[in-house]
Amino acid sequence: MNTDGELLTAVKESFAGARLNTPLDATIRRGRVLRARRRVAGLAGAAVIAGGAALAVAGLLPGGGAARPATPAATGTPPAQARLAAWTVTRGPGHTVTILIRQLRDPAGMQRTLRADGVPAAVAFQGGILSDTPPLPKECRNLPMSAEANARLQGRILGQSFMPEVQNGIALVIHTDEIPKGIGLNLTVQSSGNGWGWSLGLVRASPECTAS
Amino acid sequence: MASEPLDFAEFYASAKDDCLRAVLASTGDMPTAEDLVAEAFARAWAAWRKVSRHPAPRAWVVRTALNTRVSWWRRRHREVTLGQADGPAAAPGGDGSDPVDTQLMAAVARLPLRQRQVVGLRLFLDLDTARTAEVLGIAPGTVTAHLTRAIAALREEFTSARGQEKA
Repeated sequence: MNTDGELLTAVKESFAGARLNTPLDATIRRGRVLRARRRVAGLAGAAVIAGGAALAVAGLLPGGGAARPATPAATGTPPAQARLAAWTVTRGPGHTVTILIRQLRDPAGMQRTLRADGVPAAVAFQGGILSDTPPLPKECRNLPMSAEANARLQGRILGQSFMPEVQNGIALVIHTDEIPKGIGLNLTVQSSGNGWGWSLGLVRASPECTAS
Repeated sequence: MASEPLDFAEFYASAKDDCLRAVLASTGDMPTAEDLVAEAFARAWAAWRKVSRHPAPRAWVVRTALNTRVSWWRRRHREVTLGQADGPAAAPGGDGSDPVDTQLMAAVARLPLRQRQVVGLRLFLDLDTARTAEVLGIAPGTVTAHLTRAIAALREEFTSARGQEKA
């Protein structure tokens, strides 16, 4: 390894075993979602906007459907109905809380449940187009924290297994003991005709934003 | 239109690993690099008409992945497509082999961010100085300076490591 070229070759070879395992069809499926989102976002028309809003409202009205959110496991009360709950919040081992969403119903109920389980959260559900950057609620404030520190903290809060697989829904796991005092979670769950998504950001905990 | 999937498939097959390595050199974290590169390729597919005519499509993918990383710092998000059966991508080295030389990778990870990015683009995408500068939005002279410093730092690491092995 006498020359710069030999040194760089050694570095290059050291990465040779790194391979992207994502299948082509999974990439294309995701690409279709992105393309559809871009097309819809590019359409400017009151009819389209109104249609999307109607879809969102139909899916978001609390109590609008048969399914109801399960009572959190912490209370020990079983789900009120045998049908699949719209969402569940379950305490697990090691200070974890698993959130599972199958329908966008009753975000306020989920928010109350999470707060009762020690997760200072502001929850929103959005129908229609999945967005990478859902809006921050007006009553919440971003953290004055460097991007890297923010990313590290989010990584600890979400842990390694932050997306359990769910049939026709989506889930995430929160490590509650990793949430520092004074910090809250802004969780947005979205659903469109093509799939599900969630987006998590850190916010300042406050009575207005996270009731803490 | 009929040839679009085939062209993308060929590009994907030939470029995905090099793009992953370039991003991995920058992030130092395999799961994050995989997520970022997979997302960048999906965006490339969604904009394939434009990307396929880009003078350096691989550079487009890597730049998109690096830019995506900045936004992911602020918010983590995940999406699943209906009917999607595949779970998390198989971990590299799942056959028991070590996918990367961890000592060398750690040495790269200790470089400052810009040096890591320059090393990744120059080494794994074979970009010249001008194209590397364009991708990173910095002057060509700065690219050269970063690469020189990176090589010096890596050489110092190796010299030190060899000295410890002998001792």
